[in-house]
Amino acid sequence: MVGMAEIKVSKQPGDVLVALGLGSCVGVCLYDRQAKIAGMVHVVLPAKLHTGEDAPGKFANTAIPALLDEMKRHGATVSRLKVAVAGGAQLFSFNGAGPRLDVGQRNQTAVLTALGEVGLTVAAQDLGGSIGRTVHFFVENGCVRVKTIGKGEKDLIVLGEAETASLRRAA
Amino acid sequence: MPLTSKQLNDLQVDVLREVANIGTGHAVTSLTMMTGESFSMSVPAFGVMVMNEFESILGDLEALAASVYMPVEGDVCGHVAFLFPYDSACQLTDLLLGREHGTTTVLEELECSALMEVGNVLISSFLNAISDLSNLSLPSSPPGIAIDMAGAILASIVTVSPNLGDHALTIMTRLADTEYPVEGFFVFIPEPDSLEILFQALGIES
Repeated sequence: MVGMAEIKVSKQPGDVLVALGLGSCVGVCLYDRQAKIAGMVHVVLPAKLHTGEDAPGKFANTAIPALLDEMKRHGATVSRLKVAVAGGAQLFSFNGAGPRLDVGQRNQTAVLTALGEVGLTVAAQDLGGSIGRTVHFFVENGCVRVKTIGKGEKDLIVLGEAETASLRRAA
Repeated sequence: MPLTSKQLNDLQVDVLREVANIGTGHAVTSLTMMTGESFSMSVPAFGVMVMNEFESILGDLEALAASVYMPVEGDVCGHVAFLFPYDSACQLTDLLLGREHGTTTVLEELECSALMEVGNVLISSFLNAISDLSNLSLPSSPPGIAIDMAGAILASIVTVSPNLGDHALTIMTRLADTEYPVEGFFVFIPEPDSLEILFQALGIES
């Protein structure tokens, strides 16, 4: 389980990292294919606005570097990392203009920016819309499986597969 | 320094519990008037919940639920939502629309509109009761509705405010129909700064 603002890294092949019920939050999955190390962070908000002690995993701008550090500490090599992201939805619909509820959209942007800043590009994404998502991330092969109420379970990408294979999958 | 949930003393917790009870009591009265059903209320999970502990209250974070949410922006700012398990929302819709019990199985536009209306009334009753008690204004903004995984809905509410820490004070009360299996949860999350204002208005030293 990767709860809100939590960072989890594993290299146990049997492990599955799970972020349950992502709404406006974004689950970021990093995978080192060669070393078979998987890491996930459950980002809650785009950036820190108040002073106070918060887990680094809470905000996009601190979560990505913290996850990267944790991956390195477990022996991952940055140049080998592949990335998938899911979440950032807006669940509530309002009659007329919704108040300040664009957290999902802002989280998406902040996460993608933060990933760009550390030189990581996203191999697959399932972002936005108005649906909640549960993400299962399999350490064994880097498979990122997204479950939604409407569409059931679907593999977004297998980060452990070779580039050509995942491209074929996407096509 | 805004109050965090960790710093609440016993008296403050008691006061908040009472406030939530009174608010929920008024909401139950409104619901009874709207449906002709009698509802019981309880306080299964009150207090100070770490964001990651929702699961223990809801049972299953991935369970399908319907929720009406209203932001509160006045003397006291915060977030109020009413959350129904999907089946309960369907049965409540039957009651609201005068349908035979068990008719509604899918929540579409008409059903959502009815739920939004009842949510609006319940939340307004809840807030009015707190307003009368404290002499503070707690005006609500127009409601929004979501039908999705319960965990995703709650997480979306908590994350609306950048001020809420990992220990967002969450007050949840449960109400249940005494005849049909209709239940719902009130979720009240005051902004940290507003807690102090509320305590002062109620004559509690913080």
